[in-house]
Amino acid sequence: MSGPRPWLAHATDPLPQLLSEHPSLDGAGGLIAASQVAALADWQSIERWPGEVSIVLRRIGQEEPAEWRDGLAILLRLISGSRKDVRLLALNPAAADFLARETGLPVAALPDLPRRYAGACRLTLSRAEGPLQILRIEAGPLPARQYNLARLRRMAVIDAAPGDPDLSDLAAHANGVAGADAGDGARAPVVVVVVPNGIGLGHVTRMLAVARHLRQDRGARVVFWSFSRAAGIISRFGFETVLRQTAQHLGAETGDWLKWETEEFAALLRGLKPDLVVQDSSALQRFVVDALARPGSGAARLALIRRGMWQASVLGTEALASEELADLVLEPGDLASEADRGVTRGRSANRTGFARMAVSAPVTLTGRDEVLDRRSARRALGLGRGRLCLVSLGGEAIGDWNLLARNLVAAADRARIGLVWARSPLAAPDPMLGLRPDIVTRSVYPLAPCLAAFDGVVSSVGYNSFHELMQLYDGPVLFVPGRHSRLDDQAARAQFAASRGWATHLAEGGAQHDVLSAFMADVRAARRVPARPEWRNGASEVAGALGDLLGAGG
Amino acid sequence: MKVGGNTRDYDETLRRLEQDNDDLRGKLARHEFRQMQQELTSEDPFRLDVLGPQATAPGDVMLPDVDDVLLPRLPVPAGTIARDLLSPDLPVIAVHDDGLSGRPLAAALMGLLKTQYDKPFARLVFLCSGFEAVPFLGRYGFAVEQVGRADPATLLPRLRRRYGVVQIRSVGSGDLIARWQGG
Amino acid sequence: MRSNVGAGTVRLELVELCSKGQLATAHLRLLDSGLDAVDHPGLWEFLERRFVEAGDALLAHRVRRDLLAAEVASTDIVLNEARYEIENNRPGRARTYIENAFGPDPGNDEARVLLGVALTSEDKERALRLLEGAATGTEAATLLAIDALRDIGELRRARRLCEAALERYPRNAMFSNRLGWIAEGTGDFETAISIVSTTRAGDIEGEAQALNRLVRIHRRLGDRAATIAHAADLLRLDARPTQKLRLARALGQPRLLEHLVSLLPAQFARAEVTGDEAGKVIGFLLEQGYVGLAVFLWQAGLPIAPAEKLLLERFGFGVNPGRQLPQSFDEALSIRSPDILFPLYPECAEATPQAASAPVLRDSDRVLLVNSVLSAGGAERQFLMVARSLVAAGLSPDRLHAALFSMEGDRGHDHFEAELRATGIHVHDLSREDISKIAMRDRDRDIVAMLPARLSTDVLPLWRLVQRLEPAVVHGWQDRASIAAGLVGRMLEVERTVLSVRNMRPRKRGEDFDWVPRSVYRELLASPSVAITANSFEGARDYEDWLGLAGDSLSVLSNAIDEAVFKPRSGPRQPGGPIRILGVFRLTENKRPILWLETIAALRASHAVEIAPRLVGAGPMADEVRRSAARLGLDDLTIEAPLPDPSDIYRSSDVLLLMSSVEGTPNVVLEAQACGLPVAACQVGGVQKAMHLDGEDAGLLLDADVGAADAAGAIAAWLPEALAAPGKARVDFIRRNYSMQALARNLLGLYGART
Repeated sequence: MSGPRPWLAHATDPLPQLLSEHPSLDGAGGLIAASQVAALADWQSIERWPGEVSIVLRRIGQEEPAEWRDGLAILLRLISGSRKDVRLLALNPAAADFLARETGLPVAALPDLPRRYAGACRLTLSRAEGPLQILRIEAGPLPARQYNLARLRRMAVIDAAPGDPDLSDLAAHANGVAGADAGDGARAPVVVVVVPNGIGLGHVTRMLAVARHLRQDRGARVVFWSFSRAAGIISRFGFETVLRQTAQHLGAETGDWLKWETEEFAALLRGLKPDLVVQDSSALQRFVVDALARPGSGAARLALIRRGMWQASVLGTEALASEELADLVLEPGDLASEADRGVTRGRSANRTGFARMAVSAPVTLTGRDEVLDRRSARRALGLGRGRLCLVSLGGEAIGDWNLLARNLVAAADRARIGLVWARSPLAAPDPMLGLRPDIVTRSVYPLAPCLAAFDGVVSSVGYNSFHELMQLYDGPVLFVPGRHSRLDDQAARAQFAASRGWATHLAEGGAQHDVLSAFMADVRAARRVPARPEWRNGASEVAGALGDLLGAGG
Repeated sequence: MKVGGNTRDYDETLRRLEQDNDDLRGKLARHEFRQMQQELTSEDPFRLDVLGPQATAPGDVMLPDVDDVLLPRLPVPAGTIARDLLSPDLPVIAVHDDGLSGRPLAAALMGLLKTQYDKPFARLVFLCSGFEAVPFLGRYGFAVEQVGRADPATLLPRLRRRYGVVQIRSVGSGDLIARWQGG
Repeated sequence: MRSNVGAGTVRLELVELCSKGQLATAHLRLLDSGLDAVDHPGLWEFLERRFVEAGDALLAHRVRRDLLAAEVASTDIVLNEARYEIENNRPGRARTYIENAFGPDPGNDEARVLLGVALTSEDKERALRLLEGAATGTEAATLLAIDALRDIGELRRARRLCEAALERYPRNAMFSNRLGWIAEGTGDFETAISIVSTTRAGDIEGEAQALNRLVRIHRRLGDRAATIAHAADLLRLDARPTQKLRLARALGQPRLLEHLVSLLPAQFARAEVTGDEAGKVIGFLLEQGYVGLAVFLWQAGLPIAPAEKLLLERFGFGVNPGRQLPQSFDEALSIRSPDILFPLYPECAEATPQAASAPVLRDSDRVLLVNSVLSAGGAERQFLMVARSLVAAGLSPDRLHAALFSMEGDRGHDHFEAELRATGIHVHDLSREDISKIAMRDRDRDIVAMLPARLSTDVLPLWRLVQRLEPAVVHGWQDRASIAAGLVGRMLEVERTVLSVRNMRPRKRGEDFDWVPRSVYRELLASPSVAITANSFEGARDYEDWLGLAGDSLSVLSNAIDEAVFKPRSGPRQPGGPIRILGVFRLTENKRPILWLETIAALRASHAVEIAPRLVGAGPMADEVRRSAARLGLDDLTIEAPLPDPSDIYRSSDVLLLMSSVEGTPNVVLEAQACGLPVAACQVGGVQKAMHLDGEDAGLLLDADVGAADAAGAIAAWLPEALAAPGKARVDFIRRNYSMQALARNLLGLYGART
């Protein structure tokens, strides 16, 4: 159960985002009013608080001098009439001196925050137009409310536009001082991973790959916020998992659902104080950004792992805009990136907002050393002898699925190849294939370690399947691009692989009979395709880049 | 607005469409229910084969309760086995899995969902102590909350706020675990 | 089926039903009993009494109606029903009942009072005659009489009645409450404070209300210490959010107001605030123009009144497709009325007309001048000068109309009424306009409903008047009247609107929530049929800066001095005798009356100047001025109330001293110089431009932040030459620059009259 929040603050006041950085202030049982206005508005909470109460007095900001003076005077009157022992604080020694003179009371300076950024990047904050903004030289101002000041201070040196003494105090406090006390000893990094409910297990698989390396290489505690029903898989891999429902799952209005996600995600952040939040998705979700901007959410860095190879028809300007809010936008590399026709192409070369952008090697969950040999693989899958072809299409194949399935079965029959149908762990045990009763299915996760069990693979061309097959398997592969993928340009991948001679491509509207027959002949002949690329550990690279972000400060 | 013939024909067309929809819904629900039955009565109903070394998750991540913000009530889906649109008067009941797993859990769910299929008595929210049944329940369109080892009775305030849950009951016995007393 | 049971039995049944609280059943029982009012009036009256005791006014009313219809109503019944109709805003019915029962001049005290109350809107003279006897009425009738007198502005009578009632009913807090309100309304702040302070004890709600009033009064008085103390007392209370919001508004603390609002969703979620109170907060925010914050709370799940929800939906909030809802508190803050109403008619963007095609004032066209009140002040005097100069320039008084939002004599709102009426122009009291008869398009009705309440309250009666008069020109005077007149002019497509603003932007005069006039002015300036003037160059530039406009967006309409009234005395000042130093100003903080007194005291003490000091003015600091004068030993200081014709004051004085911290073009400086007086004043605002500063007749400009000692020194050095000078140059300076002819010429030019 929650208790009352330990601070009182105006909804637009950025100071509470910094207060939670103070090891001596956060969670110490004391109540802090972040300004004199906050104290005035909620004086009852101050009187009722059983423990220590501190009030941070602020110098004048954008308000009128009379408003500021009167507010302070009323507060002093309340303090003098109360039995409560209230500690008065200010953001720095100069402010403390000034406010002590104004009030005639002792005012102590908040302890300095440790400096978290030592680079050359600077940003200027301003409240001249009302809401807090980040001024940019070559573009319009950015609303600052989407950023947590605790995050910003790790990204740049913060300056304040002139004419706002309070904002100057805030900026100086946020910048911190080298050598200031950083509080208790460092703990193991905490990372929260947000996985959407995508089609299939692509996001989960990729993030499992990365999370394993974060845990193993950096000793990180990784917690998943999962909209995917594969949460059980994540848990089997030993990661704490919070299962969530999407708005579609519940039939809820998006706005209503977002409110829940924002509040509960913010509650998670308050509890965990993660060092990093990573989302594997095409765009950062609103609730993630909004929750991160809340006070008490800690100073988590934010990373977006965004696959490339978007369909050319997707304009994506709005979706791409969210990258400005991240510290790092990582594109897991794609072997077919030369064929990328989508809007993310070439984006990695840019820097947008504060986000650094980078591309890694392709990310797969299964490493080269985890691939089983043919015999072990067949044993693991409970498969017998003979030529076997894996069919891994999900429900996303092109055109008339039933027709394709029939043609596959017929071609396999003619070539005396046994088909093994892969079933997603999320799918029902007996899919309605409407085919012969001796169909063989297997539902194993991950399947890549067992690829050697097969003499050929017919597969959709999702990111994970593509890269596992092209880097970990040397048998014949027939790619059948999925039709229902809104974003992923599977056709481009398939065409690219075909052009390199790595695989065969069954294009939509193509002559299935000939292609299938030729493919099955390759399977029959146990053909090998040695020209495929070497496997690279993209997951380790991504984990490394994320890990660098954890310790980063310019 | 007239389509083709006169207004009466139009109304008749609409009625037939509605009837067709109802029929279709019924057929789909029947199909779903049969499929669900097959799953639950199979040998290994919630089987999940995960290769490779596995680790034990350190523990449940409990979310702090958010009780100082007014949050809107979210709808509870009827599930794909619902033959008709569920009455809005049906209470929202959360069903806790009692820590069961495998076939005992499947048997308990079978009993409950058969009753729900025959004569819907509630909108159901499933409280799972593990992840085992999550894909299954999700496939059939039910709302699922993974609650770990938390005492289910303590979950009622949040479930009430989120879904309007009025009772929490045991999946096996149907016994009442907690009832909402407030307004 | 009605049963004919005996009256006694029925009575017993009624007693039992009423004792169980089954009042409606009791009523039905009586109706079914067959015992009608004609034959059994006693039984019906019995039931009426029970209903009254139980507090069910509606059922009691139904029974009384039946008795009245049967023509068997007793005196009490008639009086009770009359009181009910008055309380429910149907004075006409009350009048009928009383006159039918008691005749047009009732002998019964209660009936007289109630008839008087019922007649207050319709026949004020008769009402006042009848209410003379109100002191002898019942408590309830007396209360009604007091409120009726207040409604028609008869505050002095209301006060007398209140005081008499308090002698008879000393424990009735409602009388003392009213006395407090009346005292405040008539400027008797000491009494108001005393009464409010004594009624402070009690429940939290009562205490909070009292503290809010004390804050308001003390702020008006400029007593910062008391304001702060009472504000702190209120914030210390666990008072309802609306009380604290009102406090923040009264204190000019917008950030406190915003913060209080931001706390509400959590408070509501924790059931610390009721739904009813939450609805009131939303209503309050809409009244103040904080539309976005109201929407923010609504989005957060707080309940909203159906009418307010409907209004917001008509403006696109909460409907699909509709406006984008605020995504954050910051965004919500930026959504305010009247900003969201502008541009008013985007589909009718006006093309900029050429000067030649601007409408010309025809000989039959009416001109409507609008001001807030006619209290004793420089701006109000200039309003009078506008009327006089137009009439003097030949405009027929029959074409000229003046409208005032209030003309209540007891509040001092009628100081210039007699002089204004003496010009022969039509004078309208906007508080008497019947706004139930306004014709408005639905869209305009919505716009007005969405305006901040203070503004819509002004717009409605003015709208009605403009609809009736159809003036070709509407001229608003000072900010309050200007923004209302400007909006009405724009929305009713008046050909020409002239708005004459104050001498400095609202915020410099302590108006903290100034986005309303800013927003309205900016919208109105987009229309070429609107002209905005200030009375000084400095004032015009200040408003342009505040409104974010280019220079020369406002024109200057200088004040005018009536040289027939303000003329020099004949003959020079007699040598010898004390120097008669005059101060003419409102006794408020920005006029710095205490500095004035200290300067006089310093002149006397340090420079041995023989002075006869004289102050003419009234205001919230009157008591403090008297105390300070006593403290400084200025026992011979005379303090007089403002006079309708101050010209004599100047002629019987030798020097004018003005030490304001904020001024536009001060009329007193012009008037005094027109009367030949030398003037010493602080260099603020438009003072320098208003003073003749050359040669031997020159005035004395003091530093804006001069202290009393330095001021006294400068004055002492300047006085001999100033007093000895003939003064003609000063007089000519005023006549050249501030004549009525010039004012009339400028006005007619603004109105589009052919020259």
